[in-house]
Amino acid sequence: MATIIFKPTEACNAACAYCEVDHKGWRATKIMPAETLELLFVRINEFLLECSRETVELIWHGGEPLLLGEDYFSNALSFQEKHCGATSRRIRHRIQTNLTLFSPKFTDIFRRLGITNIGTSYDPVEGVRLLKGKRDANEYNRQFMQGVSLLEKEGFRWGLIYVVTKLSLDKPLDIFHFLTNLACDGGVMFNPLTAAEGLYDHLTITAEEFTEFLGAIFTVWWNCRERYPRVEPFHSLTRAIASENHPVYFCADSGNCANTHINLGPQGRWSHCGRSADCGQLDYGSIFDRTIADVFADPKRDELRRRGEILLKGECAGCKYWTICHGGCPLDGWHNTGSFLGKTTWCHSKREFIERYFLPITGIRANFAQDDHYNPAIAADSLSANVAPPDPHATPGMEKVLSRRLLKTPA
Amino acid sequence: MHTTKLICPNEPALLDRLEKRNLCVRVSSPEAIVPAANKARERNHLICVICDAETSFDEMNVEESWQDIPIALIAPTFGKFRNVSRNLALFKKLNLRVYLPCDEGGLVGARLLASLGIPTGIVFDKVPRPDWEALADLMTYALLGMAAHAPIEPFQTMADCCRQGRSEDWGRAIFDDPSSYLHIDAMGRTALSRRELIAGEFVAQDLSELDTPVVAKAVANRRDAWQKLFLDNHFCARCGGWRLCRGRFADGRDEPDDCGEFFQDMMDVIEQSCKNLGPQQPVEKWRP
Repeated sequence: MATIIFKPTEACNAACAYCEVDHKGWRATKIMPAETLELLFVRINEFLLECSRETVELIWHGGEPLLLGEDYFSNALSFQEKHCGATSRRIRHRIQTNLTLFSPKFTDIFRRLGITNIGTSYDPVEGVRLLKGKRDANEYNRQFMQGVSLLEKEGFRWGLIYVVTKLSLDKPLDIFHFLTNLACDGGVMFNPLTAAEGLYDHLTITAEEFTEFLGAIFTVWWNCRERYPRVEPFHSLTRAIASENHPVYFCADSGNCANTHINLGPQGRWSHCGRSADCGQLDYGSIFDRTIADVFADPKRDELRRRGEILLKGECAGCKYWTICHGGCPLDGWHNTGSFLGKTTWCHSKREFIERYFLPITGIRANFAQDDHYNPAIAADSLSANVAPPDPHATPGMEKVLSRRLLKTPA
Repeated sequence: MHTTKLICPNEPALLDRLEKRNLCVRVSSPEAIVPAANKARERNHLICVICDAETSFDEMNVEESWQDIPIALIAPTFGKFRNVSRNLALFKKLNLRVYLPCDEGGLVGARLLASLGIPTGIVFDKVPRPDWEALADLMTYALLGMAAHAPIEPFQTMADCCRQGRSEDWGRAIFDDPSSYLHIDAMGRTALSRRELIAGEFVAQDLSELDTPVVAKAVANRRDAWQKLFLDNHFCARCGGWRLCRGRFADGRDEPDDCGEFFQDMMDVIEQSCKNLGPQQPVEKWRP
């Protein structure tokens, strides 16, 4: 599956305290013009005709995509119908929105695009999520809740992302319960704040802090894991460790993003992924000049494809957790070392979490050593880390996974 | 046929103004059950007769003529089991659910009746500080008790929702959910709950307003009222029991109560009951 992180605008009505896109100065950017939008569907069709077993997941992202208005989405559907007659069934739309602008006028077009599951994000900590202008947190929260109401009334499934900042660190369980109560039937994903050095230093957290944050909530999740349908990274990590079948990774842990992810910005520039576009890395040229197949074949991706092999021979040699992270996100490696071939800051965090919390609490004794070779094919399916977890009911229940390969339950 | 259920008093003039409605008719004495049911069925569909009795359950005159009437019998006390036992055979024939108060006698009575196959309910959200420990015991019996017994509300409704992966208001099990039930007084004024009806807090002043957007909006607002607890960062929003209680006990509480622990225990019990659902081999027991 090819995943296109699609950012037709970087404009946003919110002023989140840690937003890198906002820091970029999106006001200079424009909304992607209709002709570029149309060309995207031409490109998708070309790609799907060429690769008859592929599917494309188009993730509407931003900025805030609902600023585009419902007509923009209708135009997209018209272009899809016009250009992707034979391939349309292999195109899936998803969306990541802050929900504050969600209104009944979007529900019909979302359904027509096949969007049933909506990703959003939220932070109950005061002062993190604000609306632009008056920088009004109360109004942001009120509009967000209205969006939630409408989603539930209209029968959309939804999940949310929580970005762990310094302000979250003293109340992990409060935040865990707040979010899992709010998204009772959906998923919650905890991501660390990964801003570039010097940017939002008062909010960024260390790998150790992230480990401790996750550790503080892991016991509660593990003991009641059927109750909280999908809390990430716990759910995926458990699957990766306990599932003997093909586990599904988030993009950062797949070791395979070079073959799966691509980003398109408002000016029609291809990039590797949403994060690379935000930090101005891995530009693959313009949609007017290059097809999706061209972008996947770009020589810059070769470096990313070799990354696993190089790390396994070097910094990650002998690491028994290789099959859990595959070296982590190349962008994190770049942030940490200045090279996409470098190790990530979060490697230590993941290892610490597994050894200090995951293994002792779960009692699972997994034989990590058996898989100590790099096999990109194993990571063929990956999910986008910047989109809330998909329908938890679409994957087997955690108990089913565990019953397949729970080598040892707690004493 | 209208889908919303209306809970209204047994006032012939009011019932004559209603047509093709789903009705629960409220009466205050067992003797009024049959006439109320007959009157309601003239032009409407009877959901049940709610009998808000003043006499103790064991002293009620139960009648054979109740047999084809769905009845919610709300009793102020359970009374003596030896008195209740005289009517057991008749109780079993009736389409009856007995609601008892959340006190020691009520909890014991609910368990006894349920064990005899009579559906029961406990009204525990009217009590300022319920005995959560005792309720937890009854709830555990209701959901995990191995011997066959009738359902005990609202635990059964809560568990059913939870098992089906739905988190929704279980107030309907005790007639307190405006998405399911609207409360009407003798003058046709509409309230969202029994408490608001008694307090004179109406969302519509006349039956003619029942199907207007004003009432629909009030119901929708009430359905979304839980969000205020999240906007206020109320401790209920951060409580592990939220999935079941959904803030039902938040009013007037400034600090966490034992309710959170009760609802977390209940989720454990529901999860355990799901695991116990498989076939069980009976074990032969020794005899002296």
